[in-house]
Amino acid sequence: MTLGPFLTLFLVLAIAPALPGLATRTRALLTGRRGAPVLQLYRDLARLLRKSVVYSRTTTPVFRIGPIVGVATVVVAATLLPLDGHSALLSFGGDLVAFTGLLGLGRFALVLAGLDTGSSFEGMGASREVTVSAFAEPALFLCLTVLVLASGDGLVGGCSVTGAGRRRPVHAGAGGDLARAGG
Amino acid sequence: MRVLLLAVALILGAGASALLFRRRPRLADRLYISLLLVGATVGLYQAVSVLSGGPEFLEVLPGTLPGGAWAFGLDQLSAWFLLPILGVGAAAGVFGTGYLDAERGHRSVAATHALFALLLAGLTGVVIAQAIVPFLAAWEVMAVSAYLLVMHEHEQAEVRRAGLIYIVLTHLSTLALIGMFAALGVNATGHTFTELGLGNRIPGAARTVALWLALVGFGLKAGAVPLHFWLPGAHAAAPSHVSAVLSGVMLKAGIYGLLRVLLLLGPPPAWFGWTLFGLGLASGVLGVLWALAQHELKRLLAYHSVENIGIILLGMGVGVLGVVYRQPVVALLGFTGALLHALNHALFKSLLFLGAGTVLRATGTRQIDQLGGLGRELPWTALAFGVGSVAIVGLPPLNGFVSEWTVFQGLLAAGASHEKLRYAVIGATGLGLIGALALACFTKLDGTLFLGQRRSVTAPAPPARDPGPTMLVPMLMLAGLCVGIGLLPIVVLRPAGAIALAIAGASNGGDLPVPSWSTDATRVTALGVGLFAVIAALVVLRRWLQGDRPARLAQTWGCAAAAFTPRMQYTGSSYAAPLLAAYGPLSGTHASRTPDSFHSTAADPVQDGAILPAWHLLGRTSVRLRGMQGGRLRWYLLLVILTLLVLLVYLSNAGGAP
Repeated sequence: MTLGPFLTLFLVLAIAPALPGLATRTRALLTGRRGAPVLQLYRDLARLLRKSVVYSRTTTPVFRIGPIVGVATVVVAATLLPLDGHSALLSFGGDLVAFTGLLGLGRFALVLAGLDTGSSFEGMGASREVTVSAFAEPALFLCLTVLVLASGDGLVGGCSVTGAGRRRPVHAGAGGDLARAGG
Repeated sequence: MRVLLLAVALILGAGASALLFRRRPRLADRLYISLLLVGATVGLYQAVSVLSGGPEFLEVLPGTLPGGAWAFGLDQLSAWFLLPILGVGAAAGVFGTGYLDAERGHRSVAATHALFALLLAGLTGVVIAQAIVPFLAAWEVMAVSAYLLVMHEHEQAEVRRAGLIYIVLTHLSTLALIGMFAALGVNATGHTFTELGLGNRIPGAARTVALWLALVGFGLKAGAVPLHFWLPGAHAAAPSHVSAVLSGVMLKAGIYGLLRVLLLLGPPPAWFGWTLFGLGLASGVLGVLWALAQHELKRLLAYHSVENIGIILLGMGVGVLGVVYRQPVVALLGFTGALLHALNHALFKSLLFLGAGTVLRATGTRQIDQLGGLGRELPWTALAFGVGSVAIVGLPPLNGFVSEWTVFQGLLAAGASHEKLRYAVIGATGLGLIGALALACFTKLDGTLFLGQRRSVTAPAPPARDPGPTMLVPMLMLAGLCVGIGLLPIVVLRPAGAIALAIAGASNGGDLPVPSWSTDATRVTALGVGLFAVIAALVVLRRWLQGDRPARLAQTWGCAAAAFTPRMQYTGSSYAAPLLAAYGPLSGTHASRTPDSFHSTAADPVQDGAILPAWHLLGRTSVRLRGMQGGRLRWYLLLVILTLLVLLVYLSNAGGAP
């Protein structure tokens, strides 16, 4: 194994904070405001790293480990993605389930960290988070379902995030051929 | 065989010792624990040796017993289900000695321990019986001992009601099973399972009847929607360590039965596969939705059993459909997923019920919305409960993920296969929905029980504390198994795959390709280990970045609220309310809102909406039949003569009159 995939992984993590900046800036420009600079999140992170922490007396270790698990799950989930367009660090049959599962674990940890404060505001946020995801997650799987049905092919033993690189038809039925002809 | 009988004898001996030495509690507990552990170890040793490729065996008990040969044996399928029975059973039994200790003053604890041992022996009998009569006998031992255990707190009307519903329905299940065996045995030469299955001489109509009755009988025992409504009440009413076995292990007797019938009957029809699939989807989604609506800790966990039985049935349905449409990979993945989930659910559900029992003992309440902040008071219980929660939601890197991942792969592989099978991929969406709702439910439970502050207005003065080792060690061991299987799935994937191959192969009559479990399983291991490594690295990194700056403690920031009270916290009900509102009447909740209050109640749409009204209707119509019991002799004689006449006419028409 070469260093390449690790470098891409690092690169992806490094440019991640720029994305929300880009999104808010675009939104601001579209609504006729100037908006915060694209790199604002990097400044915030730099400032936060210099600060000391304040914990609520209500909290338990769950509050401290929550954000760490949140970041760790995203990092590990990124290893399942074919970041350089060819191969992922880690891929196996049905790894898409592992991908969504890891993001779910991150959400689990963050939601509990929120509830740990005992504040109704955090409770409200946590409740909203799980409510939205309870609709978003089946929608994601519905998209996947449609993809599998429309293409009529997939990997042996399920669908993989890196499907593009390893696609092999298991059974190209008439439906699959039709879908391909139509698409 | 001798070894297995020894194990059963040791377990029964444990129960007997609890009764014999009931006047010397210390000695009785010690004997009970040691005999139970030795018995379980002996039995587990036998099961593991069969699962790892050792010889299977089948023996007929000597002597003349009623109902033909009493055959017992251990094949791989029996051995697989023996794992949770003895493993979880022993853990729950040890926990039970600590748990019931508090009740010694006002209740006979010895009888409960003895009945618990009898329940374990009955469950063992169900999976090792290889003939009709011993199977039904063990089934009844299991059902009746479970009933007596459910009635433990019989002074409460609610418990008596739950027990009554349970005993009626479990006998309905037995009735269906007797009918099923009668249909299976139409042309059979004897009453052992091998003789029933030989050559599949069962005629088509009898086969259909047998499959339907199997669905009713075993489906009732497994608690599949809409036959689930006995389950939440009974499991909530039983003492917690018994609930752990009822929910984690006894429901699996239904799953075992269905798999056994599949092994006996050979290739199943397509409708059977789709029915299992549909039952699985309905139980999964509705089970978790109704769980989310619950306010009571043990009822919530019981509804989650309905959900998990749904996932198992979904896997089995996909497996059967794979066999029907000759898609070996789909069949293999479906059955493997179902078997794995049956084992995994036994581990984490019993862990959660033991945790619930600990919370109940420590605080004296099962109302979720009165609790809070227990994580500081019971840190070890909270840790074990947290592990169980992550596992039941099916998140990596724990064992729940391994089985749900396998079922998912089966569903996705189905979507890319046979024309008629392709639409089974819809199940993947269902499984996604189940996972997301389960996450909502267990963040609600963990957050409300263990985090924040105690919500009850009258918080008890002395803080609760972690229980003693007899209660804590079983929980930590089960939690360890959940982590262990999650990190090293190959250990369970290989034997489960072999059994799935036998079921799919037996029903297919052909050879199946064995997929390479090892590569994918190694990568799942890498994923889990990697996750723990990244977490450790981030903890170190954070400490390094933090340097020697001190961490301060302060009050929770509340948008400038001057004084925070525990009553201002979100409760479990308010947390779940938006999600439940989205499902409307399907969720079974009735919420009442005024400007300054919110109150919601959880009902079971099946029991309260359909079963009870039908029951009352039956009662009202039956009243009209009372006229027959008028007490007049002439009337009775007339009835007897009329019956005889009808019989004679029937017999002469059928040509069977002597």
